[in-house]
Amino acid sequence: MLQLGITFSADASSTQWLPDHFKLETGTVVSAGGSNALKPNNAGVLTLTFPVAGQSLDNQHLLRLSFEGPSPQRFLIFWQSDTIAGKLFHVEVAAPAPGTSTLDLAEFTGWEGNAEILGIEFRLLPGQQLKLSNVSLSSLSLSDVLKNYWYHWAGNRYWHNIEINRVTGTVDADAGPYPVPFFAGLTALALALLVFFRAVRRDKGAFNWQVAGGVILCIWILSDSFWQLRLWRQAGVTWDTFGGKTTQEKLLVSAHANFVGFTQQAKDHIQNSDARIFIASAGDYTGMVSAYFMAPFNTYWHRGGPELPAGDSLVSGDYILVVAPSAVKVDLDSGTLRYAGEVGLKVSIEYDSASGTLLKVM
Amino acid sequence: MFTLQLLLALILTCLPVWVWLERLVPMGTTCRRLLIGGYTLFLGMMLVTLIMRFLSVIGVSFSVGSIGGVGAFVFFAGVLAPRSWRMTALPSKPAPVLNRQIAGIHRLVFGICLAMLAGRVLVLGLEIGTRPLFAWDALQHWTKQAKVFFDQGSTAPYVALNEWLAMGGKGVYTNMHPDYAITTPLLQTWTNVALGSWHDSLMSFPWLLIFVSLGLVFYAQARVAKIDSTTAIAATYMALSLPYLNVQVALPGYADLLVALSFLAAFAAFYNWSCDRQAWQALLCILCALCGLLVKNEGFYWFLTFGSGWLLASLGVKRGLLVGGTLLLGLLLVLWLMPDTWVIAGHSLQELSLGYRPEAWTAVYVSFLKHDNWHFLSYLFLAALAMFIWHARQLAPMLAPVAAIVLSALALYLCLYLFTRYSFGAVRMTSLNRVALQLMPVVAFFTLLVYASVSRNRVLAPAQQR
Repeated sequence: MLQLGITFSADASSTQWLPDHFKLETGTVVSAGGSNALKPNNAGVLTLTFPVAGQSLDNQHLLRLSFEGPSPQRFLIFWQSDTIAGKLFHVEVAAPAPGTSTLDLAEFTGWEGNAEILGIEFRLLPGQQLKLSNVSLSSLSLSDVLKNYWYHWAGNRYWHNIEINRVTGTVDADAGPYPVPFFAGLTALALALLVFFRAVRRDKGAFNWQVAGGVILCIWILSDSFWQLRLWRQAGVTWDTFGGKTTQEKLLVSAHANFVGFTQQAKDHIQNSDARIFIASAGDYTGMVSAYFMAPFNTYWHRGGPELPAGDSLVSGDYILVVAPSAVKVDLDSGTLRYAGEVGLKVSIEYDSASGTLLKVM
Repeated sequence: MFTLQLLLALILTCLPVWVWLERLVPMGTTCRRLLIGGYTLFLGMMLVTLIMRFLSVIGVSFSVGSIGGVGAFVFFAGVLAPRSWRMTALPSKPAPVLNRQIAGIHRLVFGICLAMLAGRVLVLGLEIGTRPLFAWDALQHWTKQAKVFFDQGSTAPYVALNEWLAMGGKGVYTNMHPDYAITTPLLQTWTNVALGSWHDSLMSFPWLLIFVSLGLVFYAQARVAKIDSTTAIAATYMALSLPYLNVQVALPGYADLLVALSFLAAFAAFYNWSCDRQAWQALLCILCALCGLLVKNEGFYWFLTFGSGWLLASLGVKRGLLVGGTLLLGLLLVLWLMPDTWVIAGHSLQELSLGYRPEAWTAVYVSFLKHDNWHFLSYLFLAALAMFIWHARQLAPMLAPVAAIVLSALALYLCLYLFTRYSFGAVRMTSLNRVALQLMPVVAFFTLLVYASVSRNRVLAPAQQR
């Protein structure tokens, strides 16, 4: 087996079940005009099992089904293998759309060993019917593997905060298969072949480093093409979102749009340009972005620390910008601040919105 | 209008330095114009930030006039300086003759790499010019400082949170890293001053200039090192296509890319100095290495690594290793004996909390050998290192000094994440790649040098081979 983050079996075996092979556990067959549609029971449950002959679930983990009719409300798969005697595993997955759907069951707990029971369950609305034409269990074919790689390496992925820390080369930052070991291996293989061909040549000239360099460059360009594709796709989205807009318009359609609006309103309520502004938020991101948009005012924001310093640090004329989520509250009756057990700091509400509240220390 | 303003800012940034580099870099230097272009961009940006610091000290507000005025003074000083203040021209060398078929292939490869680079500049320029500020640390402190500087029309003192509270916030500002160098925020401040207003995306134009400067310095210094144009452009493309490097341009605001440029500019100049002992390369090396100290604390440590290279270049490999080894032991003794609370380059032993942290190894392995931060450059570097060791006898005289610099820098990097409390930056994959970025262009350049040395980089016409 070639292990590259996904299981690809050199022995591409598969099992296919046609309607004649299905065993209806719940529900009925509707034979009308030669069409064998399946109808659920009164509870909307349609369950089928398939004859299994000890198929290796480690090898055959790709479930394909083809059906016509409405998309089910829910869809479950159940199986039992010889790994744990008597244990029937159930898993609910996203309901498939009509047509042909493919599901890789390799990662599900219990999908291992040799199959003893295999079945699927549709949950439909009363009166609904579907026609199931084909169910199969197979191992990944080469085209499946290539499609999987293409999806992981060239799938759509747009700027996310995590990118500033790492670039994984995959559509899901926390999962492989990663391209770098593949291309490094490909380069090593190509260079090894160069060395091999030189070794079998009769006229052994000096090793051609230029050819070796050319091979490395070609593989680098291939590896870089996925990254280039991503950059250009991203540039397109960036242009569609922000192109042709003024600075203010860009901010209002950016990820920080919420903060732009309410911090501008808060700033408009601060008369003294030398005032101290304390940003009180329990959220790192909310506090940080709020502090940025409150600049160039003189702000205090303590990342990872208490939302506000000790009460005697705050003096009359200071402002507090409370940004949700926050443990800082105002007692409206007494007009005092309530935070970390401290009560008594008199404040007035200068501006209040769903995103945050500007308080002035009296 | 913005285009004209940015062009004016670029001219005011470049001219004062360009006129002096024109005198410093001798006529006849291979790729002289590109070399001067690359260093002009970098040193010009650094000079502008120094001018802004100077203006803040003397109490003059930032404006195109005030910054441009001081820059113009430097420019005219360069124009009017005595003619004897110019490096002696180098003898001209005949260009190597290539046979037609090889020349055709070289032209094709050159064209492809140049097109890829141009495309990269275009797409990154589009991101910079269009997207408003996005990156975390830029929002948290770098660009937030720039906002204050722009508003004040000068730099402003930053202190720690408790100090700010004690002073009542009067005349001082605070953030989570008040000790960080202010070069990066000053670059954004300058761009906004030139634009006449705060522009959340165009203010990051210097990051595109840093990217271009990296390419020009890499290529030109590779050519000065007698590497042919095709190999040099291919290596430049590979260095500039590193995904994490591209991200730091597309999501600008961090200081690490500028540190990477200062280290590369100094390293490449050092290598060529170690080969030809040309004083102008030594001067470039020292200037650029010192600039790193103005950008981020890590610049100090990369500056120190040049000591190891200088020892080997000056004393020869064997004596250099002996003296270097002795000095290293001495340094370890000093670290053992010095008080825990002494602060050097922003850190004390107490704060570093020295101790082996093996949990960081997984992150280092994943970052360099699995994730796509650097494509497969790490593998190429390891292969180059193996080649260097295999051919040590032939390669050491030329490459040992730069190998010492690279390996010292990597050793310091690994010490940071394996032996100090900053291992959390590795485990959580936060600062691991940002600090690595400061070294990777140098790693790429070293890999190129090994490849070129091992391949001997000879391209001769058949007639010359007889």
